[in-house]
Amino acid sequence: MLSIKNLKANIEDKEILKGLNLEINPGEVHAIMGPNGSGKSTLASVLAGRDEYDVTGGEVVFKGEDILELSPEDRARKGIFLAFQYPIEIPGVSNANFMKTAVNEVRKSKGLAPLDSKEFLKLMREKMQLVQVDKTMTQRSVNEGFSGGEKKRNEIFQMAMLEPELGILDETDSGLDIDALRIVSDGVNALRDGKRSFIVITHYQRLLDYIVPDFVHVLYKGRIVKSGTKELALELEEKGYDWIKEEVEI
Amino acid sequence: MNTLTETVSETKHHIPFETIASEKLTPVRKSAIDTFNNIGFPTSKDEDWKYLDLSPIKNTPFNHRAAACTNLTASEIEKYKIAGTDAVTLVFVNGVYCAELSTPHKADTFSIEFIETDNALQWFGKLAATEHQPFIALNTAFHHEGLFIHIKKGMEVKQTIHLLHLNDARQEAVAAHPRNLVVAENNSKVQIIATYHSLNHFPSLTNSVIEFFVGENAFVEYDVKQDENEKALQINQVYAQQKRNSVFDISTVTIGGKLVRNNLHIELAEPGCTAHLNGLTVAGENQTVDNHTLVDHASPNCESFQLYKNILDDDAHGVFNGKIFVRQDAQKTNAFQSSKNVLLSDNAVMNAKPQLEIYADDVKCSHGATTGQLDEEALFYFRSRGIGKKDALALLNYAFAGDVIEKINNDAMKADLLKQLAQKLRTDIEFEV
Repeated sequence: MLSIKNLKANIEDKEILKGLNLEINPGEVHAIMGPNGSGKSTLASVLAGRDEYDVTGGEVVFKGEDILELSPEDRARKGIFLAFQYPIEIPGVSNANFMKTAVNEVRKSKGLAPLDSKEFLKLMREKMQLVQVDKTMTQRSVNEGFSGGEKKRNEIFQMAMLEPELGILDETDSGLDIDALRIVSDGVNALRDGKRSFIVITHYQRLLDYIVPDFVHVLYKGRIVKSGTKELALELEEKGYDWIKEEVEI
Repeated sequence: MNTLTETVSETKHHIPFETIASEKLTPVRKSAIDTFNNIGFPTSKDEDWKYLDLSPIKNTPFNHRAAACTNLTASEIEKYKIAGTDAVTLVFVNGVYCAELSTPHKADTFSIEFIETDNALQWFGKLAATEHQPFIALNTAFHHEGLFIHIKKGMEVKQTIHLLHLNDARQEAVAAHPRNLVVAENNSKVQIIATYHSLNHFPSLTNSVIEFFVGENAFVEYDVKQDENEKALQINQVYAQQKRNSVFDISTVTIGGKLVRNNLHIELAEPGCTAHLNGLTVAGENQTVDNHTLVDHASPNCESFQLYKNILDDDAHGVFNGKIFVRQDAQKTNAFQSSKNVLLSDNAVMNAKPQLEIYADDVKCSHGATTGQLDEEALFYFRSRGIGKKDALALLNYAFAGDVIEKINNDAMKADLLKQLAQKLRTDIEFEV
């Protein structure tokens, strides 16, 4: 589904990703861990198409197509979803209006008729239950005045609404207490259907107790330096990253 | 008596002055002309007018006494009305009240009569003084059949009063001088809206003056929509004086017109008054929209809140000049002012200038002005959800601008403006969700 080969990316002439390789098949959950500054969020941003990053080499093939030249909206329409680490507040646009516009744009790109208000509300009600989003949250402006937990729940709610094929969770666990973490994880797990894939970027093993990955990768200095199964995350939790750094430096 | 072409030496305007009938106002009109001839049109050296090129006003041979009501029919006026109100609509064509196009109005709560009556003249011109104000001088000289709206003591006017201004410049260049007067007696309440439209084959000028006297505990809301077209010029002057514990709220939404200048002058004359001033400009092409406000805190314990926003595209030019004057006696004043602007093109220009003059020592005043491009982070957030760049921009602009319109209390006017804003910004927003 997603094949990243030798990906290199800069921000302001500083090389962050230095030849990253990653293969993801349908239905797989890949956790990406690594120390601060290793390039985790850069990877998420580059996949979603954020402008500030210059891709200087390599390729990212999603469902058989190199997406690096595509606009962020076209990537989203093809089925890539980024759950933001810091969701943006948009005063004046209600969550419901925002989602209706987004859902119908994605449908349009697939040649589907837009949902009318009734169909949309039905879909929304269904998805709201996944992450315990209530009606007032959908009527409020996007993320405006939301608590940290509400913002992250809203990201997962949006993912549920847009039904992507690849969900990228960029430190979705940061700033969450244990209850919010459970709600968010349950929402993600409900979206695991054997076909949809996920990249879960996190600092902490804790999240992976809830969203159990098929693979764990360690990103360090812009490359994936170690890959394993979920046991690798436990090892990292226990021993930190120093032993990996030492392995790499040798 | 001389014709205006002789008396108003500086202009190329043509107006046969003797055709203005009112005898009561003749001395006032003559004096206004003298004033105008002494001061002339503002120039770019005049600090208050320095951003405006007034040559289209100076150089166009306007007819100041174009036929009123022309041959417009009620159905042609219909589209300018605000949906969802049973408003009392008062139609002014070329600045002159047209009874046959207006809603018949008989009410216990208010009365309407021509401005040239004794009742009106005790208020007329008390706020909008002609000295140093050439456009007020011109309006004072040439207004014709404006209205005096009198809200009775303790009465709440349930219907919206809609002042519908239409300039008909299809046959010739027309200058209109609408002049209206509103007196809201103590404990009264009224919502008034004014909309400005034009039909142009030739240029038009609207030189509007309205004065509000807001009595004790009275509440007056005045919402203005300026929606003239690209050959239209407008100078719009609003004066308000507030008595004890009164509220005056004004919102000015400018979406049309080649050149628009708004002067707002609000005097918080007695303690306990509140004033809200909201402004929104959405301009493109080579439009110029200049908002000048002056809030005069002349008494203690008053509050004023100003929020002005501009969205400027193409070669549009926006100006905000907001002056807050806190007099020595006006202790415990709260005065806030915010100017927020978005430039959508490299050629758009915004000049924002707050001016605070504070002579009291126990006051809370703040002002801020921001001008920038659109929020790139927000734009990326929208696009990452599959919303195209153009739609994302439109939605974000809609949200930015809608913030001002949401402050309007008149629901029908709010809905009308939001709808028009959505069209202007090309968003396809579902309002019922």
